[in-house]
Amino acid sequence: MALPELLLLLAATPLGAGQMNLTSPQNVQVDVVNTNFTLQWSWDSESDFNVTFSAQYQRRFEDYEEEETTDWKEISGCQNVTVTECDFSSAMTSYLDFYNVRIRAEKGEEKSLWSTTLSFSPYSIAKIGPPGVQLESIDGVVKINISPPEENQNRKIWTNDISFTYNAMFWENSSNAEPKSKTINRRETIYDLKPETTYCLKVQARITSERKVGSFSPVYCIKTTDQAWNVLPYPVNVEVHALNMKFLLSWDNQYDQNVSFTVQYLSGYLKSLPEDYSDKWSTISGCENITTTQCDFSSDIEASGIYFLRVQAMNGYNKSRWSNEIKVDPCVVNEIGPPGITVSSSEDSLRIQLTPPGESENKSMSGFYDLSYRVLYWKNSSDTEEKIKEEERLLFTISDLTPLVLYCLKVQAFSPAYKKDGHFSDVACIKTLDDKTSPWTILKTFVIAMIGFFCFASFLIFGIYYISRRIRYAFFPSCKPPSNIECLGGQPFNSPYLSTSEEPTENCCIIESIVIEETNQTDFKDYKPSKQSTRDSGNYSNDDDTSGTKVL
Amino acid sequence: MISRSLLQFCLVLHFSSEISCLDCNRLHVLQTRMNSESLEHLEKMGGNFPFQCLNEGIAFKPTDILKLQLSHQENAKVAIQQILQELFHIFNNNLTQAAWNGTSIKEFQNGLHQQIEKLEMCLSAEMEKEVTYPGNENLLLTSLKLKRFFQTIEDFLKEKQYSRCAWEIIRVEIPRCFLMLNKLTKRLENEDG
Repeated sequence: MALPELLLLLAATPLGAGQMNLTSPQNVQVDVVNTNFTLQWSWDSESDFNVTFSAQYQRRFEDYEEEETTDWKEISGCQNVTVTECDFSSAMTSYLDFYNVRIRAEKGEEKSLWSTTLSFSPYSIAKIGPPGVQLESIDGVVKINISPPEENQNRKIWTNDISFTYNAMFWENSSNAEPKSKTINRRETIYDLKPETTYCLKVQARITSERKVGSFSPVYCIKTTDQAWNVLPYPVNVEVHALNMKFLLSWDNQYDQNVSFTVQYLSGYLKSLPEDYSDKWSTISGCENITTTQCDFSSDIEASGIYFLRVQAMNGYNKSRWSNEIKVDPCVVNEIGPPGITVSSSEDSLRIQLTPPGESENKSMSGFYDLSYRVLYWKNSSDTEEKIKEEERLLFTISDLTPLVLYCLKVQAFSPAYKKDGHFSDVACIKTLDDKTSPWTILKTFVIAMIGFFCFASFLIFGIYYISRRIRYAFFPSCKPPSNIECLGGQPFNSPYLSTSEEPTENCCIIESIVIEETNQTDFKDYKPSKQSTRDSGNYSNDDDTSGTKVL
Repeated sequence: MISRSLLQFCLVLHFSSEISCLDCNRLHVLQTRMNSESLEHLEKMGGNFPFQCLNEGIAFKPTDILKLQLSHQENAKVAIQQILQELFHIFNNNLTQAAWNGTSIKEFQNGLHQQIEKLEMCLSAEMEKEVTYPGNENLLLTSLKLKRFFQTIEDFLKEKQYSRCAWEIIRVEIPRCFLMLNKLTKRLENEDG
């Protein structure tokens, strides 16, 4: 396991034979800005000019989960230095590993003890240097072009320059106004500045997730130009309106002549990349050379993504400059429409069945938001206050209501994660049913219940009768084989279903006494008597059935 | 009426100072959604793993991101953000040889970017409020582990000169990062209650 500490001082290790009166260097520190590593220390008797200092380092790294440490090596830039700091950037090769450094004082043959060992993780302690800033003043706006702190360097500690965010502080040069702070992209345009005015700004880079805040760039100042109204004014008041993910861009019509417009969009991620994105804008399909002052761009964007939009006015060969860019985060800009509602009532409750907003247009908002629903309901007659009920499900039941009262309600969908409330549905009013049940209803209920009961009872009786007849036929048939066969053969003529394992002898003996006369009348080879006796048996079993029901 | 005014308030906030009216305590809801969307885009980007890349695939053995022992003490948001930023960075490399569906690549990158931006808002709000994380040192160690993991991927791509096979191998590896993201997002859910 790696050590939990990132910067620690290990105990001094006595090393080197010739230590005499020389004291070891104290307060060893490492200062890291980008890939520039400086080792600093203090030494008590600085007056002695013959004393030099030499430093060593070792690297600690994880190799297949095993921590390994290299041998001590001399830091080339930190040998026999006469001042109390040295640059050791060249010794640092893997910024994601750990390093130990130590230093000692030397005077001729005399060597001090090694200082305490300083252990550190280069990446963790490195500070972010200032970014590069380029300004351009054009058409009354200022374009900022930022280059990350280590651009054009071969060795980089900040390998992922996409993780930088840039914080710009800008202010009007002549005024005493508070500087404004703004998070900006690598390429940013600042609008809404006063013309012919000097603005100043400084920029710092940050890695928010690592809580690293870089140092500010030098201050740059630039004078804005006059706004470019000269040829054709650019479209202003560009706004986005969106309902249920149908997006409309609109702008003011400030033109007397016949002017047409073109709308373009840019995927937001391109603004975070190092490459110039100015040729990556795409025209919205259906919004090229349009004469209306609005454009539906719903089909060109995805909900998962951020976009920028801009409009240009054209009159013959004259083109305006592009309007101010407008940022669209679809789910944030979008307004959630009303849900569909169906209400039914009982004596003391209302049942509200909802459909998610946008479902009727096949664009259910539940596919974009974590929707919950809020019902506001009130008694129509009085000025009693509204009551609220919230539910994640699409089915509401409001209970404990007064019968025969007109209740009104409206419903809205809302998304807790986006802190967004949808539009309310139209107000729906419904009367609760009468609580008192009329004699007619009682009678009706009674009759239905009775009919139901009789149907059930007769069905049950018939069922039992039928089943018992079957059982009787199968297990206790009244057809008896001739007694001599029964006794001699011992085979179970009496029942085709009974297995032979029954005790035939016992059977035959019991029946013998009863059926003797019958066997005398019958022919051995013929089974007619059996039929006869079946009929008998039918009567018999019928009797038995009635007794059965009695028992039941 | 209430909803209208609230909405406008949120929009004003959004355009003025980049703080949208996101509820950072419910970020996991959005993260879960966006994770699965990104994974879908990744899926749509290309076809099946090419047969001819099998040999190269065997040679590439990065440590499993799911086996990285990320400390339980630190803030999961930070780890999520780092993974997202690294993924975004990887796919900004030369993709011409990958021969993948351009639209899907764009959507994947734009989706990741949006996810990063949303998280960034919450993280910088935390930073301004100077919320301190417990176990700050563990946090840094986690960053180092994640950085080393993604460094091996970057090195591999560079070594293979961003060849088609190298990209395909990485595309097989990336879904594991999303598994890790889902795991961390779950933790986010518990943190926020």
